Amino acid sequence: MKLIIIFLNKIEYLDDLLSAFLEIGVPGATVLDSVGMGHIVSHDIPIFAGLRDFFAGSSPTNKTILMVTQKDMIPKIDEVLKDVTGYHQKKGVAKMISVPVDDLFGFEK
Amino acid sequence: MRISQYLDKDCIKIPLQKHKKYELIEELLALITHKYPEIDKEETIQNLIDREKIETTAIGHHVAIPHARMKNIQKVYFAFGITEKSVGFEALDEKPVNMVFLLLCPEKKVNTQISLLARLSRILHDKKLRKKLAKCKNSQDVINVFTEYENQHFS
Repeated sequence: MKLIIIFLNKIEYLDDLLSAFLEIGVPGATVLDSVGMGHIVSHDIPIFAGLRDFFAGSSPTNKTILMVTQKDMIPKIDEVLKDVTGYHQKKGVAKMISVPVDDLFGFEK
Repeated sequence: MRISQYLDKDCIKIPLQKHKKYELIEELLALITHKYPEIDKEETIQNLIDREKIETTAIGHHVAIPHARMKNIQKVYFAFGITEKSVGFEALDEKPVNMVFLLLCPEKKVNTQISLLARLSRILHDKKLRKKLAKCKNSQDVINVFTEYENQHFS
């Protein structure tokens, strides 16, 4: 099993993305409101305020999507993410990582 | 990355003579431009003022770190001074400032600027370091304090 983490900076894609995940059989995911570090640093810590232009791509609101899935779903999820967001061609739209899951607790079998 | 490696004996002044924010910044900048006359003073002071207008560079605890990113410099320049009297710097904690670091970074070395600002602002929250700096009487004392502190705290 794998934990997929998607950092979605362009949140306008969220609805379409979740719908597309349902289409390919993703049974569920957790969606968190999140903020890019660069945005926090440059807006909430005054000494870094001069770096706002440098961190301009750091989103004030983004979404972090977590889902536990079978390994063979990863290419499909990547494909959906590409189709919906075009993240493979555009910078700053989204990022995805997968990490191994050792044990599962509380999940339906 | 060590602050001590950027400190320049000729760009440290104790005490600083000026009592107003922008005059103080100019006094520190003069230390740098005196030693490095190739630096455009007018452009630099304007960049420093522009940066101050975004938000204050006073980080609290009587410390300020005015800084600017410059197009026409190739390396980092640092100046430091301790004021004779505390100077209003519009700090968020409303405390006047008596220690001022001036930092000029090449425009293309943003990561260096971020690292230096982060390191400086973090270590200057250490009350013991500020106390030691406040007791410094000359440039060499300041360099020694930073060198000793960084040897102790950073590998």
